[in-house]
Amino acid sequence: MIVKVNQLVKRYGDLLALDHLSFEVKQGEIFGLLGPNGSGKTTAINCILSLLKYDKGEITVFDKPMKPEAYDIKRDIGIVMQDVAVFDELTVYENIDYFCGLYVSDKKERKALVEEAINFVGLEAFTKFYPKKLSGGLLRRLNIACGIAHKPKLIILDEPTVAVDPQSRNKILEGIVALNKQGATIIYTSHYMEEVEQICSRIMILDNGHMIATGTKDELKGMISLGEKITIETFEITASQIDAMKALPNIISVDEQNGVLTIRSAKGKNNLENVLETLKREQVSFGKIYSELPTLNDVFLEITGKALRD
Amino acid sequence: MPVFNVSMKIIKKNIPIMLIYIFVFVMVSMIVKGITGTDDSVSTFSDTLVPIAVLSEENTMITEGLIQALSDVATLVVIDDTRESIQDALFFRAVYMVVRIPEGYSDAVMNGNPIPLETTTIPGSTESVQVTLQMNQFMKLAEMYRIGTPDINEETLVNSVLEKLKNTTQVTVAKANPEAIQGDLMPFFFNYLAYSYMFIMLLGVSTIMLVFNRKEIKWRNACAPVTGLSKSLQFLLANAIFAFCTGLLLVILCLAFDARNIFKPNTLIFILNAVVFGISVLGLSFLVGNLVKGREAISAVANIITLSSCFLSGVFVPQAFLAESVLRVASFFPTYWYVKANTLIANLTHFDFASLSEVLGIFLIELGFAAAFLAVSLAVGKRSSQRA
Repeated sequence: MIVKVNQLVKRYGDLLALDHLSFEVKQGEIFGLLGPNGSGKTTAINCILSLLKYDKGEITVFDKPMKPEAYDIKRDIGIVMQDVAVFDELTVYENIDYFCGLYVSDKKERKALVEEAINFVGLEAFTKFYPKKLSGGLLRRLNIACGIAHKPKLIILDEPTVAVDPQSRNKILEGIVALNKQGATIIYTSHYMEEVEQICSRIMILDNGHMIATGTKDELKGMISLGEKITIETFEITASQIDAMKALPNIISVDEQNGVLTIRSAKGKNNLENVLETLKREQVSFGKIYSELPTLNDVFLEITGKALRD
Repeated sequence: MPVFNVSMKIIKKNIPIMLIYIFVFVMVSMIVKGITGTDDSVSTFSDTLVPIAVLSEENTMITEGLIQALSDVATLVVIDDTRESIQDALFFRAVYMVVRIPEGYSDAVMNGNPIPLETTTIPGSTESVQVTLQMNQFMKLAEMYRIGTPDINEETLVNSVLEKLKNTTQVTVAKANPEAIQGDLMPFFFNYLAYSYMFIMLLGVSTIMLVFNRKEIKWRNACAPVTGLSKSLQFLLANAIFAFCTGLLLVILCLAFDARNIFKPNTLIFILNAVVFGISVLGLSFLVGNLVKGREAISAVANIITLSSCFLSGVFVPQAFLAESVLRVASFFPTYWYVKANTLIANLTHFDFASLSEVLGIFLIELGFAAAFLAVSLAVGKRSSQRA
């Protein structure tokens, strides 16, 4: 087991930030910690890294207890902090060289690693730039390069795509998958469900310091009753026509707003077919029609009663 | 040694700002050298001839002899013998004294009943003192020759007196401690070194500490497999090298400005004092670096601490001119002890243990300041780490 967190409790005064949190991260996986802001993701990461003292629980990394002085463990961990941790006084190259130098003392080996990290995040053209001259996306890439240059076995990325443009975000996500393919185990925290869904092999959903669900994305989606969400743009629809929709089998709810009909149905076959037949039978004229599978937001919504973005 | 390397890079980036203070040091030193360096102390003696007027109511051998004697110590100016012209001459400083030789003066001298000469001087003036002394001398010698040689005639008497008055004393200005006078500039340069040294150290060390104390950097570094001790030692080494180089540069400048005193034992002790002061300033810089939270505040805080401690401690104004209460407050700054030690070192003529004991005691006080600053700095650092 790469990381094992058992019954972790962390309090900030009266606030219970982590409430008996337990999870495991296996070798070779991309483990996603998903939750809204303030759910305890960063606190959990900081406890794993021994940056924060915790009140109860146990943490082991590489099957050894994690402590502030566990330097042999720290040697194999790469960390990309939520807040960009680079020196404004150093260039891109010097920054990566500094952080890599904390792990690798051999100058020649370090040079090769730094150059590899620069190429990996696509900062070749910016090596002599100072961080203040970089865009938000490039700065995040530099932050990642500083965290991964020493080729760690475990990489922890804490919301690495906050305030990043789509192009840089894609580059970062592709990079994380590539790192995983190279053999690194990854813990990835985010409140962007699309990202977590896109790259993580296993996901834990956190809310108010509690683990509310864990599993693969399919396992998580399987935990809820929602099977399909059908959206129809109608030109005109009457109350009786909406009632006809509600009478269909498997239908959980039908909402109409400004001519847009949102139909939520439980798992089952032929839901879309039944809706289309009813539209025809009731002579409802419509424009576009979409069918979506449930998202992690739907999972979060059904379990907590609130949207993930709240 | 990544922490060491980054610290040195940060120092390098701040060199232009620090050079401004080195430049200020050089400029002030050059100005002071320009003013004080010109040796205005009295080293030679020459007689000053004061302008006087002699109005003689008789013309004899004795009066001529007296006038000749007075001409040796004064410049004789001719004026009209009227009340108005005498007053004008004195008022406009054309003469500083008017001597009137009355009629019958020569007979009186030869008879042993000399009548006093009538003199008019500018009130409060001291310039004519030498003329008065010369007159008195002439009279006394004349009386002495008259008594000693009962049948002496006027001519012999006057010649004898004038011959005697030719005996003058060779005046050379003796300096009580010529070396001390020559070394006057060295204490000033070393005192003034405190201002530049303190500011540069506060600025440099605080800047490095501010960078490493940024929460993100601190936490990121805490994730690395480098012990706290190793990081602290690397940090300390970088700052010690910075302190040494800055101190060395300033000391070299001090010596360059007063090169004639380089090889004196006092200079070596001045340098030792600067080294000890550097250690205490390093401790103070660590403390300030731990307390200052914003980059913008560093320069302001460094200026306030440096200027206030230097003003109170006698860097700009000698401690002798400062009030007792001011010095009492200043004694809470290492600068005060540094300046005090410099004053003592400047006056050292013997270099045995007894002579140096007071200076060594001050060195210990300065080191005590360094230890205290460092201890408080560590406590503050630990407390802020716990808060983070």
